[in-house]
Amino acid sequence: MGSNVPRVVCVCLVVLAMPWRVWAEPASGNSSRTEAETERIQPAEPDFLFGKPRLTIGLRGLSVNPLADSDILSFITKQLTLEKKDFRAKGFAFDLGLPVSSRLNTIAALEYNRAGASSEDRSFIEADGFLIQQDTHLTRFNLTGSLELALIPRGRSIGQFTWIAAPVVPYVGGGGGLLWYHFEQTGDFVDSLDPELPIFSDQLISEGWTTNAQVFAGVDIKMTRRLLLTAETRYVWANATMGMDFVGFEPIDLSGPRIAVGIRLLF
Amino acid sequence: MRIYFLTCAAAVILSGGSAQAGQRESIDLRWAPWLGCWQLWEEELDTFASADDTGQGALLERTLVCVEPAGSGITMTASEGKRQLVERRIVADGVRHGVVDSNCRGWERSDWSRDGHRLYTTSELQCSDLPTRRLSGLSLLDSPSSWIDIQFVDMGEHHQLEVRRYTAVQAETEASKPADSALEIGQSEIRQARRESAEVPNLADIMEASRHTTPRVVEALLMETEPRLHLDSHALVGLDDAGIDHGVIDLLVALSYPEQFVVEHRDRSGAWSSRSGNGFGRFYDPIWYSDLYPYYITPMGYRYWGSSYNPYFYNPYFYGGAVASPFVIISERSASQLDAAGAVNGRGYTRVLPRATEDRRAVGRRGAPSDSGRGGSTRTGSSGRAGGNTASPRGYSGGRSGTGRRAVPRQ
Repeated sequence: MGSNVPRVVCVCLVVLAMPWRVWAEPASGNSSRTEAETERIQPAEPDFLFGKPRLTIGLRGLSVNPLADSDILSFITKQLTLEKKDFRAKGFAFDLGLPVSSRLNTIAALEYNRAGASSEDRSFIEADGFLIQQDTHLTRFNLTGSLELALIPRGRSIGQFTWIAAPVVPYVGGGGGLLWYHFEQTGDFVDSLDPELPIFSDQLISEGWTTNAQVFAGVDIKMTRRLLLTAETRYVWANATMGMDFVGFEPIDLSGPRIAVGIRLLF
Repeated sequence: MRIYFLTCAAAVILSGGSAQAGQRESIDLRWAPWLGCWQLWEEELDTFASADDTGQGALLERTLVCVEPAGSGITMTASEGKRQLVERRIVADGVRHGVVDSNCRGWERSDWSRDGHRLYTTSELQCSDLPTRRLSGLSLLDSPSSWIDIQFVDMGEHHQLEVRRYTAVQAETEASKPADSALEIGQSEIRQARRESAEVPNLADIMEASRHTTPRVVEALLMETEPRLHLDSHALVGLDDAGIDHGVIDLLVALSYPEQFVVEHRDRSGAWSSRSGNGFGRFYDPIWYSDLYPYYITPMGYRYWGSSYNPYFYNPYFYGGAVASPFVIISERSASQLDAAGAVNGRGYTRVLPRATEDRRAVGRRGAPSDSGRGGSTRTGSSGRAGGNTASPRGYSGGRSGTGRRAVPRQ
């Protein structure tokens, strides 16, 4: 799990470096091409769209930072050999965007992420020396609607039939929706409330729907005429009451920041 | 262009004769491609068509437009047989020259393009109590034997686009030109000049044309020459930043990506057509014989319209007295919309149409987990969920479903 963190950071660094490559190429290319050459080479495909995009489809890989502090997290990290970073989730998001204006998009998004780790009981082992082991997983589906505001126009219309995507478009946005979570622990547990410390095997589950709110900021980088590279950071607020397998806990805090890198296609 | 001048300079040197060379020094060699005689393309069609008809021989060799060098400019004559209809002297010096003609007063100006291959003409004329008439046009060769003349007429609420295409006359026809029209520049030089001049316009040419003349003329230029340019986003931004009319840009895009778009232009009836060709066509029209005729055949903004009425916009001979013109009329409504909107597809001369168109296991909420195969010194749950097991902040609780195993504190 821990090794994923630097990998994501590396990917982000590469993504953030891309604009320089994208910007640099046309500039150097122009200086070396003559006007005549420019006009005689017929491209296989134009580097602009024949009209404004009417739909965007996005796909992002994402990394969700650990759960915010909550007593369930404190409990399991205290009882089991789990750490907060074990709940760094990986996932993906799919979104559909409908441009409202040159700067405003409405976005419907579906996000899935899952975190989990195997653990042992920190305090006890079996009488015969075996470790007492469990698996813990947290899965989230996030269904949201958002408004996304580009800080500069997303592209430039020239005439009726050409639309040129801007090389780099920073954006911010916000929205809300529904979040479904599934928190599950499977394996052996020590009944520490029993003086005899019996071990039981079980699957403890808490799941359900809750509402969420989110804000985000990101940048779209033009790769081709209809392909954008997207890097984004997002913060989601959500909490949900724990299920009956988890008694006496405060609502689980499902809030947390996430970073995502992906692509966006313009149609 | 440099090659062209070198060619001409070499020709001057090699031709010998100091007196003749002295005479040629005053000639603006940019006129060389136009020197000679030309016939209106549609009349040429009529000539072929009437060959099968009887009694139409009079149409043969009906008119010629001849261009001869005259000082730093040219003299252009339009003649019908031996009858001279029009004679004009044109100097392309970028200076306004006053015009006094019958009841009309005004000015005209001719400018060369930067490469000397295209001639821009502009004029403004006030005739009697008619609205001021503004002409803006462009002449170019699109092939060594084809001369295109495009003029846009703005007369108050009327707008008209005139596209004339001339072909260089055959040798035997040229032999019939007036005897005093001997050219100081040889035919081979003229042919070479025409070859060098007849280039498909590039983006720079189109941008230049857009600065010199109206968007409708540039549209016609594009329709007649059909350049297929490499239009990428940089080029488009350059065109837009230069203030090029969006209708012109749309047309450029459509011509550059014909697999995506269909381009149509207005014909003289106002209908949209993708076919080329304007003018009379091969049909009988009474204005063929009216005062319009000299104007119809004469390029480069000939200004004569007749003195008493405007033959284009009200023709008493035409059915119902309606608007009649061999050229393309752009209605006042269309024109005003053009002015208001800058460019509206289909409101000008052309219109562009797009072509159509982990789970390790499945468990119920109260299902029994199954896990096996753990190696090493560990062992995990092997029994099903019996119910009542919970976790609380105080710890896990197994209710009554223990496994029988016991835990001991770690050492």
